[in-house]
Amino acid sequence: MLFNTVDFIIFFPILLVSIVLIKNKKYQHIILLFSSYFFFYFSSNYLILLLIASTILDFYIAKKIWNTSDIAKKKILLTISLAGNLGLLGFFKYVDFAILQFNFLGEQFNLTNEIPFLNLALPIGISFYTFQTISYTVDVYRGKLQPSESLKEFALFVSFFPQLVAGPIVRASEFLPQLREKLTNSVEKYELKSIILRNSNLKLGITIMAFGFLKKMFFADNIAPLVNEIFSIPTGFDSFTIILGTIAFGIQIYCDFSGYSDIAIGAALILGFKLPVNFNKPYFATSPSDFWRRWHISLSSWLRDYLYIPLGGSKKSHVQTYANLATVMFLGGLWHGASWNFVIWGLLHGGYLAIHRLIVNKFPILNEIQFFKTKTGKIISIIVTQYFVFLAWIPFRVSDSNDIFYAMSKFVLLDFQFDETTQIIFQNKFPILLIILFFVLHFISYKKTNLIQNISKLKLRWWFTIVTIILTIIIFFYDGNPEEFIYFKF
Amino acid sequence: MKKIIFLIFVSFIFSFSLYFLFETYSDPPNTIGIPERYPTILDDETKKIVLIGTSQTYQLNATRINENLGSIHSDFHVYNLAGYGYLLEADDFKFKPPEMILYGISYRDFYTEKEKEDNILDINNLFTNIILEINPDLENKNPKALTLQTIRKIIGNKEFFPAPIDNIVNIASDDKLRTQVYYSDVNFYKITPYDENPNVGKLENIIKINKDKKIKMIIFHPPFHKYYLDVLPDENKENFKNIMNTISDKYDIEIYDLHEKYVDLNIMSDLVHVAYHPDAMIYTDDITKIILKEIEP
Repeated sequence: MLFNTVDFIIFFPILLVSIVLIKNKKYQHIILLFSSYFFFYFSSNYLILLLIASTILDFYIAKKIWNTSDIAKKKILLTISLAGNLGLLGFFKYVDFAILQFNFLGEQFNLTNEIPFLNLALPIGISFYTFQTISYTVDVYRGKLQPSESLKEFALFVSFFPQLVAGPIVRASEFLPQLREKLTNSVEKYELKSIILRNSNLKLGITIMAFGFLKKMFFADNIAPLVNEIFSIPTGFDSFTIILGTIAFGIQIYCDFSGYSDIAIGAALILGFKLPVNFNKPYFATSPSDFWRRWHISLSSWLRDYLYIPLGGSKKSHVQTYANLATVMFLGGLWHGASWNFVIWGLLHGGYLAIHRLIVNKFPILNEIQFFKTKTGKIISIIVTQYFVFLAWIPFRVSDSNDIFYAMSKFVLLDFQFDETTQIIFQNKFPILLIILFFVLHFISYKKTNLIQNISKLKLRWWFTIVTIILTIIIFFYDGNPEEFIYFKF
Repeated sequence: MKKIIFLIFVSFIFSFSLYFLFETYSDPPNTIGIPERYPTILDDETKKIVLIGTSQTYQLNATRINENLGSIHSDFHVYNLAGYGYLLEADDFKFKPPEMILYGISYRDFYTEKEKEDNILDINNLFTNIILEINPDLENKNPKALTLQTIRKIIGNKEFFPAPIDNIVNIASDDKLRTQVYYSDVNFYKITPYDENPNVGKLENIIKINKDKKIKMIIFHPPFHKYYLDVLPDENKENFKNIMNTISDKYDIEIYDLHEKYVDLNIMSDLVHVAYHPDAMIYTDDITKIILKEIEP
């Protein structure tokens, strides 16, 4: 089920009413669990079996890991869990990609027989829920988390509908205690936390959701035609058109994905669950590492905790650290999709992080220079960082390798041709206006931290006015054919 | 709490009412991407060739066909009237009967609902379907088209916003096409054999009418993406082939098969539509060749 459909507008209030009417905590959780399964089944049909399989596998394996003191056995169990989850992910997401590479290699060695593609349907959200279940089992293995006592609760953690299909990637240690209070402080049976709709949560949740819908349906969906016009076949366009398309896509993907995250966070909050923040004004990042502290935070922190640190993090030699950064970002790129363009995107970011680390290591004095702490220095840092971030958006959006290299070369080596750009700007005044409006709003939200919280704390009449304006804009710009969220396919 | 819920309710009522009021007092939106057809076809003396069929035929560029045809056969003019499917019949033509009709017929024209209706576990679009059952008019609502049309009118600038036709203009990426397989109609329908398929009768009826009026009729099969063809059940392919062979023999109609012709080319806007894009004109050019072949004495 897509958030931006009539189906969700009906589903969500029905769920809320059910939760309010049913006071018994146990039944509230069961309703939430089955609602989550319904939400998933709505768009994925039989592929829900994969979600259930992943849930059952990790629930029992985590328990066994916790209950055994034999380190070797723990390792075997962890390996089974990782193999199960990554096997599912690998099979459904990457098998055709692997076949393509295998056939290509075979062609180089004059092998005439090609392996046919399986053309499997990509299960929605598989990249997100497998990462959640992996983090759960690994945390239990590391002794950081006590396994869930109840399959029902664990199943709710895995399938909780707001974040199920496109994140944020929630850790069990963040979610389960919200279901059960004092989880980590006692080994006794605990009381389930009842789901109570609170005034403050409701107001803040609705405000966050409203801004999420506005980002997706007003900004992202209306900027998309400009992006498509430029990037469906970018070869032939001049430099400034490519730059314009890149900026437009950067805004589109931010509004699309952070919009989804906002709706998820808002919906969860209304139900009384706090999900982690996934974006924090990423286009004001002053370095590549700062960018990854602000963009898709739940994924970057997952990669840090479950990949980068196990690889050795920055504890080993400098060279090893750079290699670790590149490896993590390579896999992060591949996580987004079974395609070389995502690998290029990941490697570019891996390169940025490694080079940034290298510069910081080689010239520690840079940290002491006062200029970079001034306003001008900060602006320059932001512009330089964003130049590279936006350059990397090209391979994220464009899949054909020739088009990628053409567009990237035009982005870097300016040709100072303006005719095409002017024409495209004149033909796309509305998306251009939205881009300008986005930057103004992004700047305001950067300057005024907690803007959404502050709006939710306004007097009811002002809050009502703002929410109504947002809702009216959304309705007037709804095209009856909801656009899928970009991150759904990941 | 009650106050907040009440205000949200009011907010919804207000916003929707505002929209419906706006809709009532606005001109109905033009169907974007589909030009008005009949008014463009005057009852003049040119020899007409008409392209009919569904949206797969609509992707043909009639202007380009006419340009290519013009140098050799300037007395002919090609009109693309596709988009109406079986609703369009020879009797419906509000102009002088054409010399020739090229009818784009594909697998999809013979699709019939399969067990889907009986599958109680199939809940996709459940709520939307319930709402549409109550008010079917909602299906055709496009507030965005109306809003943009109004903005364009107010500021008097037609280029303020590009017409949202990119979904049929742009060439789709491989990733996009791959994800479309799961949601495509190929999973929901089947093609029943010649004797059982209800659409066969409709097609034969059109053929008979055209034959009576001595209008030459050619059938071509519009192209599909290979991902679509890969998952299309063999039984459907076989039944379709049999239907078309039977019709071809029975009515002596020439059939050109482009279903699989472009499977190795990157020209599709989705699994079933060739993009209306300069780099995807091979489809239009091949239809031009068919026309040229058919109008040669």
